Amino acid sequence: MRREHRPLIVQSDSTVLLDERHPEAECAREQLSRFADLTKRPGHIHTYRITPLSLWNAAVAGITHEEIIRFLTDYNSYELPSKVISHVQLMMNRYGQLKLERTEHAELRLSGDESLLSELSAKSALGGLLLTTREGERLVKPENRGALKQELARAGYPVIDLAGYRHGESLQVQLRPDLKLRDYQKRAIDLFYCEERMDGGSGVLVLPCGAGKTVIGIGAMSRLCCDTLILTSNVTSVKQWKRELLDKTTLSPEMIGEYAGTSKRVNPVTIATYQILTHRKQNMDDFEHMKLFSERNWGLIIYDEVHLLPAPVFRMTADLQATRRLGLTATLVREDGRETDVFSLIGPKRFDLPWKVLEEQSWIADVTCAEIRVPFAAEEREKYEAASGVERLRIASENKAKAEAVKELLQRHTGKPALVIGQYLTQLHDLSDKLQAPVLTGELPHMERERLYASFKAGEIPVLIVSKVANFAVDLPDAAVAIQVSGSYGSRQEEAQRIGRILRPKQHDNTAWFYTIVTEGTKETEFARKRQLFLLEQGYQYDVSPWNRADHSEGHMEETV
Amino acid sequence: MRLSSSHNIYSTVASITGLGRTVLQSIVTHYGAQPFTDEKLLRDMGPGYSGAEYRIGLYELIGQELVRSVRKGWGEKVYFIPAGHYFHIHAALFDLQRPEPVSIGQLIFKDDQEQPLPYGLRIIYGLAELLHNGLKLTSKGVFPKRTIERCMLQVDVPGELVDCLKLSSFSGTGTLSFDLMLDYLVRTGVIERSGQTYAIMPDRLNNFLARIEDIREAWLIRFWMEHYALRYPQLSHAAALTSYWKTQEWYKMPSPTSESMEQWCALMAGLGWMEQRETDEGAAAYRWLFNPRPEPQGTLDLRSDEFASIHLSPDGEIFVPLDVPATIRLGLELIAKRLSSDVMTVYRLDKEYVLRAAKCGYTAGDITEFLEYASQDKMPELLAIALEGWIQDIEIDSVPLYPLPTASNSKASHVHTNVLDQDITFERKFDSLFGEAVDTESYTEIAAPQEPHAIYQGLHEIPCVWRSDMRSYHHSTRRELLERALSWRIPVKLKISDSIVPFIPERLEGDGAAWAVSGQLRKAEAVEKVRLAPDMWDEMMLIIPLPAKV
Repeated sequence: MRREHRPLIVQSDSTVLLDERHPEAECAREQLSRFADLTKRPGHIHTYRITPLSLWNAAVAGITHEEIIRFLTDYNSYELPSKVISHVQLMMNRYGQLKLERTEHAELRLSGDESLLSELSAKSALGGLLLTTREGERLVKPENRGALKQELARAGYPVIDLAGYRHGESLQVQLRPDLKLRDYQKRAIDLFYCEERMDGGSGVLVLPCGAGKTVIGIGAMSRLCCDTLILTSNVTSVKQWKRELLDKTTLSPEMIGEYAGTSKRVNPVTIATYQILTHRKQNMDDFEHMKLFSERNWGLIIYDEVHLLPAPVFRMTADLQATRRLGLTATLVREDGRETDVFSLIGPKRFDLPWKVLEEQSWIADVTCAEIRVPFAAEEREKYEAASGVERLRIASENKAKAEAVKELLQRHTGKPALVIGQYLTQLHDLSDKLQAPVLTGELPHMERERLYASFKAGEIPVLIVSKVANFAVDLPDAAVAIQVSGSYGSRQEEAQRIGRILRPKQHDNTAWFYTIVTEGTKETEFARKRQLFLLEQGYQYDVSPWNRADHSEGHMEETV
Repeated sequence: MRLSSSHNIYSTVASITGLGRTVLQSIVTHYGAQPFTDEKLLRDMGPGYSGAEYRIGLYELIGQELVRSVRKGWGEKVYFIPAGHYFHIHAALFDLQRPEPVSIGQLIFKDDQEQPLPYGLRIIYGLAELLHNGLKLTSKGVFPKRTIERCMLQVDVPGELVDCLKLSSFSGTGTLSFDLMLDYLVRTGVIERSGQTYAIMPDRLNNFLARIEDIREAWLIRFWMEHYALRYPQLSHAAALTSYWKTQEWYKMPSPTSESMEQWCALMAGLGWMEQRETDEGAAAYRWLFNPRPEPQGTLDLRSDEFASIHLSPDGEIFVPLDVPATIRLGLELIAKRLSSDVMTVYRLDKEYVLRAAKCGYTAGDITEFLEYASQDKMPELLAIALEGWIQDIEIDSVPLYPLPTASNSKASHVHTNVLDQDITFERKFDSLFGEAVDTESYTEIAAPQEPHAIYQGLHEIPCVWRSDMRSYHHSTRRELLERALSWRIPVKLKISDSIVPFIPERLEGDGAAWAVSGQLRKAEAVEKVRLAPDMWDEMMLIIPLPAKV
């Protein structure tokens, strides 16, 4: 097969490899990202994948299959596999074959080719949802709108939902005049809003941690001016949303309700956790807090960290298709593989911006990642060798020799706000003693946590030791150094969340350092490698070096780490 | 002159008489490279020629070495086209005829059609499994079941596709796909049996691996044509006809088509050498992805430092472009996990596979040196540290069956051998494990008779005028001439209504005065079956076909 010198290699399984060293790589990347998902970019070769979802997302954006095939043909190094051509044609043609509209009697009408409707009606999951009226049309009960979209997407036939939204209760909310949205934030809001398109108004925005997803959510609220329900992953995040709303909009405190922990206030803007919504006393009980969805006439629901959306909330969302929905996430990849449900129930991806692109444009900090391998103290090595399984990992994680490395790294970065992140409370308290730094864990009441965050933000506390409570949605401003001393096995998601803590752009020196301290010659190094995969795939590089006090002393450090 | 090259065969076929060409065409079509007797040839030939003419044509072919004439012991004399000549002769006769290609717009592409990997690449993957699992045989003299199963994952060809070859599994395991791989490796001398084990023959293995993909696959197509298709005349004919199709152009299955043609194309598609589609009229269409008749071309040699390199990612993934030498592909198979095989093959270096490689005798140093050589770059630091960590506690006590290519040991092995400046012919030094289609070893060569008296027994006994002049004879003499013509299977000339027409007698009917002769009148426009009474022609003479001067 003849090879041309071009930036792409399209594989027959619809994987696309982009060689970033090629002179036309940037141009190819821009085009490619419109219809393919970036899977990873660990080295010079970046991997994209063309999936039904990515193609439907492209179709939503008005891209045709002819454009895609022409682009791939022009930029591919080899003949375009016929399987890819047919896959693109087939999937793109499917988008738009079915339309869901509202009838004059406020019912929903699914229209499309009769043979396709008949084929779909014959499927057990869809048969009960479609009521025959006349050729090329089926009636759908409004309450089945979400379930229908979900099942059609699963069957490989996404529906264009033109049935519209209710506006919800009007709400006077504006962005404060001094708030300047970044260009990409404005574009993300525009692409979500899509007023000129009936199928707009719902969808998912994909941005890395630190890129200002909260601001984008607030921007969307100010565009729609309606009662809004915000769902997020934990209580700390609820507080942060509230703070941001008060800081960046004209909303007053009494307009914002917190629905988490002990507070259950439902106001025009209400912020709740997924946890409270899915709380029930016993397994067989109903989810009593799900009533929140119907307690007000919401015009917008924001799903923060949509990749963590739990199954019961999905089910509830299926019934909320007349309400505008905005999903915010750093990654569309879900551990449970329910990406199709996110597409059909929340909406298609409206905007995506790779991490490294934001870093290049200085919208997030330029991060240096390093793994430092510390040897065991002699007696601990013996304990490690004698232990087995999980216990071994814990011994390696809690290696006391790590404290010295942490101390020296902190000295190295004196003056930079630093977080020390760990998994084990004993270890964290021990470090707290040695470093004379406060420790923030789940044991602390929320008030106390808030106080610590505030002090850290104010620069009163230069070093804060945090447990995994800080993994999610905690916006710790201006942290420039993160040192993780232990973690949960090989969790890539945790690694990404932790690096997210230091991604916020820094005012003067826009750089940050992310250290992982592991014990040399133990299982911990393997888990560290697994944890690093997500960030490697995003284009970050880790330097790995053994801990040597002399090497890591002042001056030498900058060169080696 | 020995027919040692395709060029000689082409020029020889071009120089033979029309009769010789007609006979050769019949042999090619009816018997392929399979043996036949002259009786069978005479029976199977079409109308228009007498038996003697066919025989003279056959003798001409024997004289020109296009056909061999042999006898096994005291048995019957048989003839055959030498296997190595068949496809060249076919091409010379049929002048590389090919149908009109179909445009891509007439084809239907289906999303779910998987294109099998090229068979040569699968053999490399299968060979890697053999190297991983060892080459020792069980006490029954076969490979262990687990080895066969693992190899089958790489080289399996669906049974319904290979049915047309009518081969039986020789290993007794019923795994024909495994046997086919083994047959190739043994036939080309890559592995050799020695007692209860096979051994790798490094030079031959390097020879196999040194071919670039297009040549490796072209070579294998020819191997399948010569070793398997040639066992059946119709399959050989189909293989030859399709080999004239241009690479990358689509051809519709002719209508009506032969079963052999369908079977051969389906088999080639199953081996990843052809691609199959359907036309908008529902007919099957195929195209070659590799050229089954590569043109002789200039040198393909590359210096060892100019090969395409692999790319190592810090996360352990290894990207392998299409034009990476097979020596490197085999090395990667032995140390890393293959994630996908396509125009860019992707491997992952992970702990499980590295430990497996260590068991085969590869050290971290071997692997690093190999990967740095193959990528022409330093190994990413993170990966190097991970590799060291995985393998550090492992004791390596075995010697690898295949040394991983490195800068120091690969000076010679990456030189792509120039195989196409010669004909693709196969050494017949190694026997097929399936048994030979034609056991040429036990035959004795027999020269074709060239002298008229040797060809026509009793030629000197007949009056000279019978074969020199047209004359009118008494009915009984006419019968006598025809009896002689029938025994020699020669034609006669008859003067009928002032025209002289060749007549091929087939049978005398009746006795006494009421006899008649049936046969074929060879008129200018056509051959006509007739039954003639002796008073239906005026004059006659015998025609004695004689061999052309060689």
